[in-house]
Amino acid sequence: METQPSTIKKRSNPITKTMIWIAIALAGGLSLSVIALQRDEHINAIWFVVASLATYAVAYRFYSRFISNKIFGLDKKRATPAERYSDGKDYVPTNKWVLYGHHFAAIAGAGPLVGPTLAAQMGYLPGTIWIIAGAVLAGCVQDFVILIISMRRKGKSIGEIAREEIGPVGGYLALIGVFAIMIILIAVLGLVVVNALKASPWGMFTIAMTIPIALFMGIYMKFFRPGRVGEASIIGFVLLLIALLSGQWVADSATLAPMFTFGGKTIAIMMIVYGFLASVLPVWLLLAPRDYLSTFLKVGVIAMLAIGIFIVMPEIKMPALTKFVDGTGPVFSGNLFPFLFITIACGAVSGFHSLISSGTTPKLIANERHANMIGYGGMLTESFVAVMALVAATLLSPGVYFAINSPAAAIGPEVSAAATTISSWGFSVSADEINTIAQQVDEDSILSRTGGAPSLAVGMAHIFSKIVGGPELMAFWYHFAILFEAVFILTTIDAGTRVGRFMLQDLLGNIWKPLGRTDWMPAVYITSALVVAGWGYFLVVGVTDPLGGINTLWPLFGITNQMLAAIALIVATTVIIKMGKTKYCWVTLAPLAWLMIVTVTAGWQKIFSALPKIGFLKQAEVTQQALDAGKLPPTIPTVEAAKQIIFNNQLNAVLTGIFMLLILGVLIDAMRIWGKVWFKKQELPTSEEPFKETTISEVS
Amino acid sequence: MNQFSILRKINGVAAAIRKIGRGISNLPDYDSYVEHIRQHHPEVVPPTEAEFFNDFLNKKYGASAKRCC
Repeated sequence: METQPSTIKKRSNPITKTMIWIAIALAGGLSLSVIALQRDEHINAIWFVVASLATYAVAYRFYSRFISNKIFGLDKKRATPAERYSDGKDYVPTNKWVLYGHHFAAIAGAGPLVGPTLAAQMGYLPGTIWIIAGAVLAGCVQDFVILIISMRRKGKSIGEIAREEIGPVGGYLALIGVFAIMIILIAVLGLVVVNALKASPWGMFTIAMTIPIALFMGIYMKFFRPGRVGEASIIGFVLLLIALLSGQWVADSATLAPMFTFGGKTIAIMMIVYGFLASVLPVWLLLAPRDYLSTFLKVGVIAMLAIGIFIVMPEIKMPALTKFVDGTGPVFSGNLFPFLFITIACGAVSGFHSLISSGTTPKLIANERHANMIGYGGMLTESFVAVMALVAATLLSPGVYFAINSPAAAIGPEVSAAATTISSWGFSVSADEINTIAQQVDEDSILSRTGGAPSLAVGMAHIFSKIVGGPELMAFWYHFAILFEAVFILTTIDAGTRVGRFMLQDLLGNIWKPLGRTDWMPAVYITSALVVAGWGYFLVVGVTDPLGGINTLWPLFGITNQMLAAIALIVATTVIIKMGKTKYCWVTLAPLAWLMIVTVTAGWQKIFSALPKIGFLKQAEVTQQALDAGKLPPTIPTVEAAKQIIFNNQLNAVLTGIFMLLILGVLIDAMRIWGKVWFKKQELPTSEEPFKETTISEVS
Repeated sequence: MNQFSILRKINGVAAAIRKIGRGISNLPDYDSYVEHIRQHHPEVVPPTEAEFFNDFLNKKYGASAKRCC
């Protein structure tokens, strides 16, 4: 172990330091027990904040250092790729705080906001525990370890590392996994936006305006002020606020409002067209300016939410546990185990992060010792975002929460009937209460706005309006929150479509060369169309699903995301074993085992469960029986719709099966390598680059 | 403190904010790239600022682009 004179010098008073850490640990433990044991009264949100921050601090200080010192021996004297391959462009040593900000902005999206909101149907406790414990023991470990592994290999991607460390089969399967998750992710996030915008002229107008604003910014940066992103972003943000304010005027106007009022299917088709255009147009015109706007908006609003929760200190109205832990809840189906751990993916552990941790970040990191803060700390911050989303969802009265988040199939399309149904579940709510909230946020109805974004927006509007504007500004803050969520979801959709297009071109180029050429427009059009058709199919199915598409698509997304995390942890475990650190391999092996148990159980239940609400095959069978008997339920209006539902469920079952085989394939391939080290006592080379001493002292 | 030093201070703060914002969005710095080319590859003619950003954007949203949920 290398010595660190500078840190030793700083630890001049070890007793004070120890006392401080004991105090932090006690504060965390106390808050956690308050959260876990409080039963009769409403609990204050500040306990969640303290419990999570204290746990994060202890885990960061002790566990992340354990990993960096005992397993990888992170060395501040060892040159990173940013120094070895410095080219002023891709490989640039970057200040650690700036890089932390960039990494966080790249990993955090809509996932940590939506998952906890949906999971709130089981009460605040299960979600909180999983978000905090999952992040500290699984999510942060994955991000951090993959960042280190990539940083020691020229910043290579997880796919390349899998190929080099496990083998071509594992590597190829991992690539297919990435493509599959991309398609499902775009579809489910698209569905979240559709559900937030349908029959909402204010929201629809504001989001539609972001396109001309982005075009303007793009042209501005291309022709007038090249590279002046800050300037263009400020102008764009001001225009965005104007669009947001005029949205209210549009919504109140008798002539304009109908022009921006659309059904779900129409919005879905618009999004498909948008995705296609974003994929074929030059990036400077539409994609890049939107992305800048979204990055600044995202970081800004998340900071605002944190400050808001500190100032307002809202009370949590949701009970610790609801009766829906038994799997009968309306928001998503299935028991707490395994479905809570699928529903909350991002915020606890998210496989997608392994792509970022092996993407740009490892090429910019200036010093190996910065990896703790960027990799482990970045994910801790996302976990905190998830805690805040859970707070925003659970501060609503439970009756209102269920009115917004239950699909029409569960509560009906009519307010007073819905209020009666929800009250019969034990969450008393009146039709008046629901209507008042709809009026406050200036929407016709808030019933069955599934997908999490609207209920989160109501929660955020509660917090923000307590600080600025009072109930008068509820509507403004609600649509501000919707704008914030929709903008960065759309950024995921357009950029994701484009990435998917490149991946597909790469793949098809092997079959017929011209299809791989990115400068040949027919190839670009064909592959873009194929990618949007892929996610567009699932999106339209989700929008027209009588049971509420979120119920089907979100678990599918959760399973694929956790599957990707499992692949990343398999790669990480393999590297650790090959490094001769088998005695510490539990660090990645334990979360891997947990994720394997969760995904395989959830996948199995999604395919084979005898309950039609959970099992895809059972749902297809039940619908087929109803069709044969000529007794279709009122939620399925036509024979075609019934046939569609049968086909979709069968398709989902097949897909889930493929995902499970994929992950088992990668695992078996990797275990072949583990066996060589463990039983045949072979010493296998890793692709880690040899040590080279750094020559840079400090990065500004 | 006279007016000029206040202005200089504001300028410095603005430059720092700009640098952080650009870093978070992972924007490359044209000047340091030209400096790098001049030092390490003197035979290469550096691209213009507009070309430089165009290349950067095409690469950023190209095949290796990463997007999270």
